[in-house]
Amino acid sequence: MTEALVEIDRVSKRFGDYTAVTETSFSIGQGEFVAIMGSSGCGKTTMLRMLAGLEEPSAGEIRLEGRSQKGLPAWGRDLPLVWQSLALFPFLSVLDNVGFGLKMRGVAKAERDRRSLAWLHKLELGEFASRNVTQLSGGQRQRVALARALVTEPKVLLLDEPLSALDAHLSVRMQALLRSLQRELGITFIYVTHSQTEAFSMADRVVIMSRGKVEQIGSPQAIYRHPANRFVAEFIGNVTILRGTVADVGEQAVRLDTATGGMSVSRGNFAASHGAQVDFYVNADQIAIADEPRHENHVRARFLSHKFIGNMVTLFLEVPGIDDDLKVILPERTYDCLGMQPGDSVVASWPAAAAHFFGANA
Amino acid sequence: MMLKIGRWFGWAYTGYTFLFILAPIAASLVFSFNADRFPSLPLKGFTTDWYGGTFTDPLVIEAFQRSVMVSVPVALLSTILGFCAAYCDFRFDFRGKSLFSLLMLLPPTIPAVIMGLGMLSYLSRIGLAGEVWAVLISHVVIALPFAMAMIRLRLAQMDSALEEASWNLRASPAQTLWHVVLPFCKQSLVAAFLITAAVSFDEFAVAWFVSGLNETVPVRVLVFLQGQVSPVINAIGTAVFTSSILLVAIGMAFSGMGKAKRAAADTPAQPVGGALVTNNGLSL
Repeated sequence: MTEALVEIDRVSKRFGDYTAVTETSFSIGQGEFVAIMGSSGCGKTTMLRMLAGLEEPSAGEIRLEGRSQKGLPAWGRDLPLVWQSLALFPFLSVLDNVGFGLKMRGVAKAERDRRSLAWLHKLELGEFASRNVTQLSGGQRQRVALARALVTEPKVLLLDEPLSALDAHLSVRMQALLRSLQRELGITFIYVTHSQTEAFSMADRVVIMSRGKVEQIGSPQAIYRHPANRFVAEFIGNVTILRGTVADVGEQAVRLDTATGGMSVSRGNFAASHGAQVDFYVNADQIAIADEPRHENHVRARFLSHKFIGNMVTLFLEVPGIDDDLKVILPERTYDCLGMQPGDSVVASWPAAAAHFFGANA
Repeated sequence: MMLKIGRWFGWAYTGYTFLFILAPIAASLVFSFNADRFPSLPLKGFTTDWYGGTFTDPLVIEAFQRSVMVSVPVALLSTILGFCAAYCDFRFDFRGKSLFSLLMLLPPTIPAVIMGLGMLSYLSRIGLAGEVWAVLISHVVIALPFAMAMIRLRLAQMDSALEEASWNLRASPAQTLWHVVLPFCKQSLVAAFLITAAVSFDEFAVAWFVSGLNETVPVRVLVFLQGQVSPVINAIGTAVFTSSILLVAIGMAFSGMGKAKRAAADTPAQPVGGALVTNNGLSL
């Protein structure tokens, strides 16, 4: 990461008795694509509104290029936002919508129209310049909103769930457009979303928030492979969380006694002490299913159900002694070859390298 | 079967209500073209004499001029103040806001006689009774709630992100008001102007109390009626009815225009302002 462009420094936001954001700090570099992800009410939108100056932090400070933004009103900042509702001006033409920010900066009409039109052409909207925004399709309006925010050539673009109103197909195309646009312009995108697909497919770094706090910050790969805690693990949903007592601490792996027998877990930088009760997780896509054990950790389980996600299949297995279902992700072809029926008894096994302690791989 | 009778009854009842409201107006219209001096059947023949006679009468011309001179400024003031009140209610939260809104919308619910008396006693105390100003002030009080209601309804359809989006694009709150909020409300502003003009143009009761010698058209009509039963009344009535209904119709067309255009994107619009007006606008 290059030097920090946006710094969020111990920022809190309270609305009366309700605390939307609690003492949150992180920084965002020049040219980074950062996604802030979480379920509704986690504080992600409040965070974005504070960046845009639409809310003032109750405590802490936001800095842009080292300058504190404290007390600076929304109309004094250069942080354009793409709104969830788009918030296009219905009484203006497409061209005038895009040119609005330039007009407010006192750019003369001819220059304004020239720059707006250039952006419309870039986003393949040139032919719609004189239309009213109400005459456009959802995807076209989306691009008008994008052009309106980008025409002033900001250093940072804020996006508030801009794709949530689009159908899946269009959303995927817009994701590709956003990603390539961000690369090409080299500006920072701060993208708020509740969608894991959107966050993971576009962002360089993902900030996962819950109840006003940051749970984890990292690359999509890091978060997917090594969730920092139980919340993130359950939110991402690609691991099974198990519990055991430390029996033996080795160089590479830790031996644990669990309800289903002894297990090996990668040690990482885990500071284990003998006899401690600890949680660990098993990555669902590193578990093998067979009639007999393939790896050193193995359990006998009953196949309950399955669910297709693209060309992958998630299996849910019932293991005696474990409350949660054991989750296993297999390629669809592998699943087909197994020919399992619900109720079948199988052996699930995984190497020590597929199991980790929370926070031990940071 | 029951359902059919119920529906039939509903239609009959609605028809009867319309007949009840419209028959006197229709009668007035028909007799204004009747050659006979007395409004009786059978009709004697077609004439436009009554119109010719009426609109050469200096008293009537003066009353019409005065009505226009009052209703135009009333409409302008009511629309401006109505917008301010509606925007305050839409944008700001403050102590006593519900009381403020209640007071703003109260005047049409006060019986006209009480309103007229109150206005007369207050305006005479400050030395304005009998002046054109008195009619103007009273009519702004009466017409303002209609303007506020119509504009408030339009504001309710505005995406709250719209103003924020404008700020976000570096428009100050004042610039936002001018470049975003006013254009968004444009049609409802025109509608409010026309409808408050109509309210003022044919308001009788309060004008009768406060106008003194500065009679407006409705007051002039009453004076005519007290002196004689003349078909001239029918001619004036028809003219007033036509101009009022035209103002209201154009006003409603304006407030409805936005609705038709944005059918897909927006919430359904504004029956309230309309209902208020047809109650009162035709109350001559």
